Amino acid sequence: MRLPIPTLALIASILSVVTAKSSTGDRVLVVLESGIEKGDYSKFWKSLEARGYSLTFKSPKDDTAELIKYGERKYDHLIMYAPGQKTFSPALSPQSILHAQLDGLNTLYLLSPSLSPLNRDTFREYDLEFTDSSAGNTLISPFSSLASDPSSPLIFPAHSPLLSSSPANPVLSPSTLSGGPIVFPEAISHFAGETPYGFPILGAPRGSYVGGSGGNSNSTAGEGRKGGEVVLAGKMAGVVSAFQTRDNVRIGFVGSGKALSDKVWEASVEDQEGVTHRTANAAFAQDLTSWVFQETGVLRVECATHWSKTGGEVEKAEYRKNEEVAYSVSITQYSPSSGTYIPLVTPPSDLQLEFTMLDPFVRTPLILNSTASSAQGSTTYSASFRAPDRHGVFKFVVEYWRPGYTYLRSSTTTAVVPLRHDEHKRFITGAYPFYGATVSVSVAFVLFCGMWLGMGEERGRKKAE
Amino acid sequence: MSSSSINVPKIPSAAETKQQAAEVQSQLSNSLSTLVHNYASTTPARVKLIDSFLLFCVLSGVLQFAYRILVTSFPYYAFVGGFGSTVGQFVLLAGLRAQVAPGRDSEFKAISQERAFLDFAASSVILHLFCFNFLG
Repeated sequence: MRLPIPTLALIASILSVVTAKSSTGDRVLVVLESGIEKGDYSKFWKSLEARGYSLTFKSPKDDTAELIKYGERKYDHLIMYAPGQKTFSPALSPQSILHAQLDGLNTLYLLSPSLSPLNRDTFREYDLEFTDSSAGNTLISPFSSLASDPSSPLIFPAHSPLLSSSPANPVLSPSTLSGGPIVFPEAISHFAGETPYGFPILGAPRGSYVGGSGGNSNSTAGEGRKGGEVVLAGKMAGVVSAFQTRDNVRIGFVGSGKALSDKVWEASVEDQEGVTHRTANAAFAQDLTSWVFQETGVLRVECATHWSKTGGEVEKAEYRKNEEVAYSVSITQYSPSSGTYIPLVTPPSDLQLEFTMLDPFVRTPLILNSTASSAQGSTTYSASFRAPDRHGVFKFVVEYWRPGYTYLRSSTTTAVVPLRHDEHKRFITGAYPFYGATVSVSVAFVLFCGMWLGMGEERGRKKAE
Repeated sequence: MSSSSINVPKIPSAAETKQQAAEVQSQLSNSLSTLVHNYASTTPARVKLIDSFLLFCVLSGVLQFAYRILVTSFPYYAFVGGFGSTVGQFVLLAGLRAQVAPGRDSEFKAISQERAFLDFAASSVILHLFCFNFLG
């Protein structure tokens, strides 16, 4: 039986979509506050279900929505769409969510300008300060927005601040980056602090601002006293941010929950200059949920070995001072399409190895070892260095911490010991003149004795004559 | 040569200077050759042997010390062994020479040359054992 190639491709693509799964689990709890219609976001839910996630919907007041029961996580991921909620059930309180996050719960927060003080306080824990303006929290973009509505900014993914810090970012896929703008209707923006665990994904378009519009008053921006003060403007205003803890739990913040609604999901929109765009909201939602739900940017250290360069490739428990030590580490990347760990697609070249005893004594770049990589089904990096002239307990430490990628840590303990009493060199090169002098004096002494005695015999013979 | 005339306040003529220098030189070479000749003719062969060994010890010691200053003294015990063997051998040789040379002191007259040599050889063997021990 022969199937036409397009059919095969279609089956393959469906299979790959269906088997696409998170590396940590596929149970998702969705919490929707009362004002939000589940049906308005049906395309978003369908896309998640098509990728293999099982969704459970609960309300913020639901007592049965325990995140952790009997010490076991009941859900792997949480989508929290309850920005205006003033009180939560104990199961969904900020404390219990934080507790679950420490236990590995990935969370996607969908927000709106009607942010409750409780949520505002909670998000401060992630070093995100959401705007709180008497003139309104909605992000206004007069120059880059939908034609009819300046409160629906159009943000192009190619302007993402993430790209300047790490060009090969794992969050935004290349197709999204080259695609159209993302519409954020009724977005709240935030000011991101300097925590190293957080990083921005999308910022507001240039020329946009929060506050100043004076709510319903018709005064122009920033001008009228009744309009109020501009609290955040331009690139400083973050719209989408991400946070990844030391334990690699991922948390995403989207300033506009409506950006995932069916209205703007792969829709054609017209901007203020009359240009028609196809929105990239669907692609962006896919990228962001893939990242938050541990599909992309997930790295793993497979194994780390070390050995002496002089004593064969056998892992040693301890090394001598000044010994040549070799180290290699294998790293893999989670592939959502196959559900397995594969060699790194774009191997970074900035890995470092540190050989530390409190402080790093040796810090050396790890070099990509392509021959070992292809053999093992993982990406192998290796380095070799001379052990320090200092004995003690040392650690081989590899740390790799880049925005969007798993925080890689590998630490192997070893000992550096001095030479044993029978391992010192028998002769030292620098002392050869001294050895030579002593031996030459001894040889000269023997010759001297021989010649002395020979002379004595001659004299004795002469005497006898 | 001309430096010998610098100390003289009255500046002599060139011919005079030349003559004086030649005189001094001939006197010097004369006395040197007499010294060498006397040494060669009157010194017994065994004393000459001792003297050449002494010279060897001095040269070896100077070279080792220069190496220690200019290059390395590591390991220090090796230097002590090497340098000590040349110095010790020099001392022992000097002792032997004092006992066997023709103009020796009357206090050594009672000691025969054989006895002196035996003393020297025995103590040298002990010295060398010590020095090899020091080399490490």
